[in-house]
Amino acid sequence: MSDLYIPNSVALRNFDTILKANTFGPWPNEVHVKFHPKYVAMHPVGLALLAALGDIWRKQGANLSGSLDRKIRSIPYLQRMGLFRAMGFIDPTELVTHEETGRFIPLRKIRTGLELEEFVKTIDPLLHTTRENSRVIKHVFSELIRNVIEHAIAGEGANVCATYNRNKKKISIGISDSGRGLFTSIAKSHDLTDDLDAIHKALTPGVTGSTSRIGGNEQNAGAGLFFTKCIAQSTRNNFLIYSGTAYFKLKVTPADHPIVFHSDPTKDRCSTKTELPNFDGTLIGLDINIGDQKAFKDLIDRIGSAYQLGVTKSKKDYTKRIHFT
Amino acid sequence: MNPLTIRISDLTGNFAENKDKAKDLREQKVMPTIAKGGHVILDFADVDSTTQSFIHALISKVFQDKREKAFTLIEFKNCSGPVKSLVSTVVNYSLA
Repeated sequence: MSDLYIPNSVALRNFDTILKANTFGPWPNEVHVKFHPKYVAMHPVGLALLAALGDIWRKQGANLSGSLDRKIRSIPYLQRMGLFRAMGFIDPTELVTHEETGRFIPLRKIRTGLELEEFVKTIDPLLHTTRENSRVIKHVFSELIRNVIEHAIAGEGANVCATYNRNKKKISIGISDSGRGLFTSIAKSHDLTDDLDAIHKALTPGVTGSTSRIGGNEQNAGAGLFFTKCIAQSTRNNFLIYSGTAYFKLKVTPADHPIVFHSDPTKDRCSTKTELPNFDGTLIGLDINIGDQKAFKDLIDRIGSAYQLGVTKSKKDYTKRIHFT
Repeated sequence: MNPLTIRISDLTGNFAENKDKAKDLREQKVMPTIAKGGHVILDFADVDSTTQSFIHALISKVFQDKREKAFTLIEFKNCSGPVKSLVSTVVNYSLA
């Protein structure tokens, strides 16, 4: 009998596998974690989720025990990504530590704006990428982590990790927190029906928990999640957001379909689920390709236009009047 | 009154994302200078890119308050393509 069962694969495409196997609480004082006995493949979204559960157990003061077959071939990967320590275990094996450069960003915690600023500076050397290629990665990390710092009220901060597939030029990202969740955050300023409604509002351009005004205030525009979702969509990848008892998952846009940015997330090519195990926090996972960064400026132009149209219904372009020198 | 030039990279490095610094600039430098009838030059030399949130925190309130008059109050210098794009995005929705 386990309180948390970790299946043999946790990815964006099959994210439901970990949900079907678990209830995510209420957690007993003695939490037992059981790993799939043969192999555990895990996208950063799974690593980030389990790190957030570790935060919740720490806050609760739960005692941990676990079942793990030490012959599982993916243990070195999971350990190198910092999973066991993030959950509250000691590392199961002794590893020869290789350089992180060019392959992955292990789980780490970011609690403040200054920590985020320092983290962003490390991305180029960590991923062995150029400043031009990393613009979009930095943009995504900054917007998502800053959301946690500003809105989640998560004492443990944000859990952040990523892997980079150099052949596919694809970076996979997982970010989580064990804070108050999207419902409580958005409900401060907007009427909500349930957790899925909160997720939809969070993805809607111009909606922020900081103010009831559509378009935001002087400090928040309610654009960060919309931009991030569009970036994943533009590179024809998945994007998942899970909070409370619901998730929204953007499906991959097929190669023969045009990329259309919807200000109404219910019009996206997506799947949504409700009545899921209650996750006290927020989890985001996505993949992005970084092979075509010459298009980043055009992408920002297009997303910006979609944001403006969604918030103001206006297409007016003042660019020529801006004093650029 | 001489324009106030703010070199963004001195505060942010080559990726400008810290909204707290953008807010401080807006509240302590940009808005007070404009309130005194001055002109602000935001110099993005050596800033490779930025985020929508940073630019929003830096200039959105100016354009919301001053409307189109803000075009004569703020100059954007040495912007890379992505920075230009994000400035245009924020200006467009702030004035809409």
